[in-house]
Formats: sequence, structure tokens, C-alpha cells
Amino acid sequence: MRSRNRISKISLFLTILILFGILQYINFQSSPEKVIPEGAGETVWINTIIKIIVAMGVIGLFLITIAIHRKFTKREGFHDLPDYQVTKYSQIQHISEPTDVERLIERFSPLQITVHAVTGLSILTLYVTGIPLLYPEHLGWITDLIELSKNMFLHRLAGLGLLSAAIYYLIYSLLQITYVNKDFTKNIIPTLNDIKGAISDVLIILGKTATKYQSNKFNWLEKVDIWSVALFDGLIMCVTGIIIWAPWLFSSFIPNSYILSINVLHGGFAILSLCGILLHFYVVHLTPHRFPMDFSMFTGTVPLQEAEEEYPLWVKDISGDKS
Amino acid sequence: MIERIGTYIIFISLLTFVLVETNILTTGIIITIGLNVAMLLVVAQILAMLFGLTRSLRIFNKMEHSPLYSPVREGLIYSQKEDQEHV
Repeated sequence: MRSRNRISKISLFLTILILFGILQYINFQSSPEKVIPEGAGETVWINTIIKIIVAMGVIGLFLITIAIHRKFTKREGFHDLPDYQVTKYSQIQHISEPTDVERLIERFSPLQITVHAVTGLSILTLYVTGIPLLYPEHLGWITDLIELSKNMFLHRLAGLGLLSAAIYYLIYSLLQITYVNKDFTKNIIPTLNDIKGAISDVLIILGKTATKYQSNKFNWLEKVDIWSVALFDGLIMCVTGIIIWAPWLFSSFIPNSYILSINVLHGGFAILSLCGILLHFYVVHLTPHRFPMDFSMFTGTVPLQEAEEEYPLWVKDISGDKS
Repeated sequence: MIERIGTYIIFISLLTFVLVETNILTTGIIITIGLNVAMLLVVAQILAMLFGLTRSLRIFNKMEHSPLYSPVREGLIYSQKEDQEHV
């Protein structure tokens, strides 16, 4: 416990240091005499490829959402609430805390809750302030309401929030793996079992019989969710965001036309990311057995009965059941 | 009610992005409604996130002040009180 606290403090200190360094570097380099070089080749084909990838990605996410909905509706008693959820609902009506008379087990640590909250709020603020710039004809009222300068300030502030969460969790994970627990990330590494799970779900959606997928702490869809946020939002969006925030920093090795392509990439992947988050919204809020929302990400706990149904391998693992 | 129409709201907003990004339909009232619905869902998520965070902070605060505090036990006490009132 003490080493965990120490690592989280070191990670926080390093994150602040890195962020301060980035901001200082941007500030030092923002001299007006630095001019971005013009042209250096047409990049229309790059923009076309990006648009094709985004279009295919959006279609894919739309189909995945339909498929997941089909899978959920095929579940026995989909529209009926499970017993543990009925208990929780009846209590929510009377008290303000998410409780359950069933046994609860810890699924998320306070650190994960914090990182999720910072990342989530940052990403959602980025959507509200960024997506209207891509569709000014339809969503221009949002930018007008906030005012463009304040809108961009909020966008960059939220971007720094996302960047800080990404850097912090990366440093924390690396320190944990190096000094405390080598298996720190084992729960989120994709395995053969996850591929089997995905195939099993596809078979169920197609109406064929399949063996029931035994999930570990995170099922295959949750792992896809985690890695897509880490790669798309944490890496690609942050890197492209910094480039279009301060293009003069990269002017010596990235020509202007490519910076414009990076702008297209940033916008396109933002739409992809939003579609992914809408799918996440459907899974954690709007499925009947989770409606109105799944509180486990905020309380850190999950009812044992739910865990036994959804993540049987994880429950066996933590209970020491070898069967 | 919401959980029944919510799924279709998600589908509508995703379909709007499909139409816009594939250049099938880029203007018109349908696209405006779809995109605004998507932004409404984002705002709903922000509110849900703040709501959930307030709860977790309240639980954390209670646990800090009283190490014996347990949301599970509090839930039991409340449900027993409710049962007694009904009786």
C-alpha cells in the first residue's frame, strides 16, 4: 500500500513536470518570426485516405452497435431486471448512495476512478467544444453560445486534462510494472480467450449456438474500449492536437500542407472517437439491465452476483478457486 | 421509457455520422437534428459523470470522517427502516 502511494505521488510529480515542460516549450517557441514553410507537395490523397478511414470506421461502429444490441436482446429476460439490480433500484428510490445488500467486491481502485473521471470529463468537454467546429452549419450555435475564444480556451484546457491523465497513467503503469507488480497490466492485455469471446458473440448474433464466453476482469469489448481510448484519444488525438495547437514548433520538419492534413486527421478521428463513446454510452447507460447508469466506475465496487455472471474467470481468480 | 427509446436515439445519432461522413447526405434538417441529438447525448454524459463523481466523493468523504462507515450497511439500515414504516 505504501509503495502504491509513493508511486502515485512520483507519477503525479512527473506528470506536472512534463506538462509544465510542454507548456514552457510552447511558450518559448512562440516567437512571431517563426514562419511555417509553405507547400512542399500536395496532400489531397492523404486527406482522402483519412476521410475513407473515418467513413469506414463510422460505418463499422454503427454496425457493431446494432450487433451488440442484437446480442443483448437475444439474452434471456433482456427486458427484465436481474435480481441484484432490482434490489439496487428499490434502494436508490429511498437513499442517495449506490448500495446493495448483496456482497460487493472491489473492481476499480480509487486511482482508476480518478483517471476515468478526468479522462471522461476531458474527452466530453473536447467533444462539446470541438465537434461544432467541424459542423458549423448545424452546430454553430454552440460555438456562438460559448464564444470562439473561450471555446478554444476550454478545448485546450480539456486537452491538457486528457494529456495529463494519459501521461500520469502511463508513468504510473510503467513504475508499477518495473518496481512493484509485473502483472499490473495483465487484465487489459488481449488474450486468445478474448478472440474466442468475440467469435462466440458473433455466433450468438448470427443465431448460431456457441459456448458461453468466460470473461476475465474485463471482457473483450471492454478491452477494445480501453485500448481504443488509449491509442486514439490518449496518443493520436493528443499528438495531433499539440501539433495543430503550436504548428510553429514542428515547422522545421513538417510542411504546412501536412499540418493541414493533421488537422483533417484530428477532426476525423474526433468523430470516430465520439461514435465509440456513443457506443460506450449505450452499453453503460441504456441497456435495460444497467439503466439509468452503472455506478461501479464511481463506487469502485460491483455486486458479487453480477461479477460471477459477467466476469466468472476473474471471480475464480480472486477467490482462489482452481476448479 | 428512456431505456426503450434511448437505444434508437443512439442509432439515430450514429446513423447521422454515417450519412455525413460517407457524403450521402450532408445538409438538411435531418442532419441538423441528428448532430444536435449526438451533442445532447454528450451533455447527458457530462451530467451523468458529474453525478457519479459527486456520489463517489460523498462516499469517500464519509469514509474519511468515519472509518466504520459502509454504504452497504447504510443501505441495510435504510431498507429496514422502510420495511418498518410499511408494516
